Amino acid sequence: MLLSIVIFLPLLGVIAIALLRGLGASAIKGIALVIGLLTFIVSLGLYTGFDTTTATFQNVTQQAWIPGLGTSYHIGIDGISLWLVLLTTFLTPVCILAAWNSVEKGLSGFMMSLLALETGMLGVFCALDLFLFFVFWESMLIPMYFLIGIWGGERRIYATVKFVLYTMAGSALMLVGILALYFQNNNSFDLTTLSGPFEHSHLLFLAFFIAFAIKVPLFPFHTWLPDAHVEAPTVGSVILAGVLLKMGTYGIIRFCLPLFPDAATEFTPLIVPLAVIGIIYGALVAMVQPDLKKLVAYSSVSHLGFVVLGLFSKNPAGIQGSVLQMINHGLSTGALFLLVGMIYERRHSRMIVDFGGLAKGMPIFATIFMIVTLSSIGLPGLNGFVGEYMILFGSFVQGAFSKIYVVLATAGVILAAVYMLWMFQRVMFGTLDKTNEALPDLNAREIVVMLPILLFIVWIGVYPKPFLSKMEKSVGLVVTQVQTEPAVGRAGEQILQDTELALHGTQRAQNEKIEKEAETK
Amino acid sequence: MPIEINWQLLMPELIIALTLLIVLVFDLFDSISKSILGWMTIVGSGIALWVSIQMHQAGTVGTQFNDMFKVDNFSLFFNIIFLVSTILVALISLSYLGRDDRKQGPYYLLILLATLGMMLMAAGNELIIVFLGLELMSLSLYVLAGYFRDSPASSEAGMKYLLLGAFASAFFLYGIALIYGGTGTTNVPAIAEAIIAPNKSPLLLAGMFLLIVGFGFKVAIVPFHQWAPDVYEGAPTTVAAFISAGPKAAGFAAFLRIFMEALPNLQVEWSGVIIVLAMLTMTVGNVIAIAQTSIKRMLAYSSIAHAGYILIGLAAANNDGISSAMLYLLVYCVMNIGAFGAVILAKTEDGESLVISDYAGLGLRKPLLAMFMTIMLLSLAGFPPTAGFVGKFYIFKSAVQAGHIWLVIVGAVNTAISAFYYLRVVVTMYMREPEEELPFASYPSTLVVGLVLAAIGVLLIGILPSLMLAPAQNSVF
Repeated sequence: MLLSIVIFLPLLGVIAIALLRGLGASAIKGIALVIGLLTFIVSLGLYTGFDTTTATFQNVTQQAWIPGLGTSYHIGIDGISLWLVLLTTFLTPVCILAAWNSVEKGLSGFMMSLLALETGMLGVFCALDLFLFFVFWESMLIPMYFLIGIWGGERRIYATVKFVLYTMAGSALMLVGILALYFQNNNSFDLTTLSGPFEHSHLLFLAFFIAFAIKVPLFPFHTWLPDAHVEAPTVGSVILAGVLLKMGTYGIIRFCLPLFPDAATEFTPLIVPLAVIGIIYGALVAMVQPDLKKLVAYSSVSHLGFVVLGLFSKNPAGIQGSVLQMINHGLSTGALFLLVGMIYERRHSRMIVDFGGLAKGMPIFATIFMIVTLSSIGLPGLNGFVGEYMILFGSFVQGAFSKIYVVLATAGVILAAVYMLWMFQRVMFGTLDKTNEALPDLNAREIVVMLPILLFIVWIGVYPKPFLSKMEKSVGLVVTQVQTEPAVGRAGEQILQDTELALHGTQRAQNEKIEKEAETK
Repeated sequence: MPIEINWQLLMPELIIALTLLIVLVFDLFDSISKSILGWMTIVGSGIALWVSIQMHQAGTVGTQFNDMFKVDNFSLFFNIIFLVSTILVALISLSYLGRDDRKQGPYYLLILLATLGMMLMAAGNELIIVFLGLELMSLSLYVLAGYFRDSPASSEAGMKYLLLGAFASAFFLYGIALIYGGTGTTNVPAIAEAIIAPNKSPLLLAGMFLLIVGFGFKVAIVPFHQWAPDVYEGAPTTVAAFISAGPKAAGFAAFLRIFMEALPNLQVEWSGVIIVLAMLTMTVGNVIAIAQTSIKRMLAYSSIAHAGYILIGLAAANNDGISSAMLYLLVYCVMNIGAFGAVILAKTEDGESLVISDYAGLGLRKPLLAMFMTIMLLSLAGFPPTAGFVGKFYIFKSAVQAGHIWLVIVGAVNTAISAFYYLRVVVTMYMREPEEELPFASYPSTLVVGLVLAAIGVLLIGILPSLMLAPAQNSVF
């Protein structure tokens, strides 16, 4: 019930705004913000009530919906989706506040799209019924389409149509995959009763994986992303980078790995190189971007490459690192897009050459930008480091693929430092020219927007344990499901216990190591 | 032998026939306002709809006239589709025909006659009855397509439709003759009994292919679709909405009944053909729709593509296939009439604006209209939570069950292609600035009522599909 409230509260806000839009701009913004905050507060109940001792789904609601089609309204969360739900409910009010003064036309439509989008995204993370999942997956496209297409930049129409068509092309295949699974699951779309091995598991894996790879986006499916990011309004970019891309990686961890372990293993040698190419290629292309927003967009390609790498390492550390990195990326890239948006509102330019020396005139902006930049690079003590470290550690020590890939991926960390710091240097240091002198520093509202994000950036960097402990069991279950080979002659329960023991061991070692390093830095 | 007539079985048809006569008689009196005729049509169809729903819920089954006319849940469900379409079309026609009294009487008369023809087609248990219904429907439609005598486009549409439609009827009739030659009967169940496995005479197969050609024309399947865009573009917009909805459903009703009940033993022969036709129809319809600049032509190609999706249900040839085709036809009729209604609503003071680029900026200037149009287009494109999504999903599901994975992949890819041109209209409405401010006329209230009903239907079936899904699953022969 609680979960249903979290999912549909934003939709209530959409209806409220639709009915009360006549009251004026401040009322619309007020309703949106209140609903956004309320959703976040209610979703905290999911966190406090979360049982860390089990890997099964919690807060489950199951209701008959369309018996004739074999689908039900079945939702629930585990330790993985919990974090993505919280990330979504956290970023939405932040976005509403960030868009406070920047929407010039159709404010009610903007806020309605944003809230409808929140419902769609939350639904994707909570659906335990394949049909329901697909409904949310597709319906979330429409508000995003309007957000980019109406409130976006110059080439917004091209970007938004490209975004929709790429996603639809992927989901067309996923639809076929879902239908094929249905008939192998006793005519039911229920995710919790699905258990392999399935017939044609290779094709099914690909049907799902390509849809998710487009969303992630994995190289070479990434070309929609820079267009969408650059043309989207600031808030659109934040949601796109912060949450939407995670729907792809979430799909991989929820469907591709546990349902088709054999196929996942067989395709690993193909996918891991693509992830590594994405890491290096994204970083190299980001380096030469003259446009701040495009730079951040390509850095997303690189960061998401890490997440995919960690997922296919198929061991607890790597996958936990990936899930954590999903949150980290949502926070730090979301923050970067917000900062770029703030400077764009002041200067109406995003070109790096137009800036220089901003640190003199805008010290608060520069400080926050610095922290976020360092978090994105993965400086120890900030969130990015923990995730990247765990991914690389997991992939190197127990990874199911050649170590050379991990070595190459590590080069991506260095490249990240190069493009981010170089950009920071060109924007913040050097001579402050006339046009930039008059730019005002951040105002109180903007600081309020950034502060909660900074809080989490530091928190996860210094003390990631509460985050990791909630997802531990669920990740462990995924690991046992994906590592099916040693199952011969052993009871499933035993493997689960073994993995948990191993998980605890790695976990403890890592936590100690991370804490120690955090202290020394 | 005296014929026992069970009047109760014929209630919906009798009500429509009675309404038709009342409209005819009232049209004779010059002293009364003719706009009442439209309301009579709506009320009469409404009563027939209510009776059909009652009979459907009661599960009425029975045959009449020496087994020629069969009332079952299948025909009753199609009655519901036809009557819903007729009511919606009458609603959007009330304001469209204007104040010209001479135009009103024959218009509603022809609409009702066509509806009666459709009902005969769905209930035909005999190829001759199906043909009678088909002709009753088609002849009315030929006149309706050319209804605006003063408009050359309308006259051209009527003539084109008549010539090509007559050809199609001839093919169909020839098909019936050959099947009679092959089996010695025109009764649907008797044909099925007469076709025993080894006895597949070339005569029979030729008859079957001719039937496919005939139906192909009537429901606009590629490569028999060429008439559709010209007729839709030239015909009065309300008539285009009508032709695209009810008659297509009626064509499919007879198509499904004859192929599933009379020719199941030839399934090996026809299913391959249907699969190829379905793939062709979807792809050609969607790809050509992308290139259209006129909204009516775009909707014409879109309706061709939708015939392709519905054919998937026939290709699946299982219970789910039939009921999914029926559900989809219902959904399709509502959303397509809704889309045409939105086109009528987007009327400027100098006439209809039919070029898509005229809609630029409509999202801000006419938010209500833009919203209706968007809901209908999203449903046509198959986005959740609209009815179009559920319908398409159910059709694909039935085909996967039948093992036609490739057909479903082609269908799913086509859905993505179709999103491009449907969304382009939405892009134009919300995301482009108008080059010149077109003077849009005010909203006629009856038209808005029609659109509100269509929008409610599309969203309601989208969110709670069981409302219509269960009755559809209940209606398989």
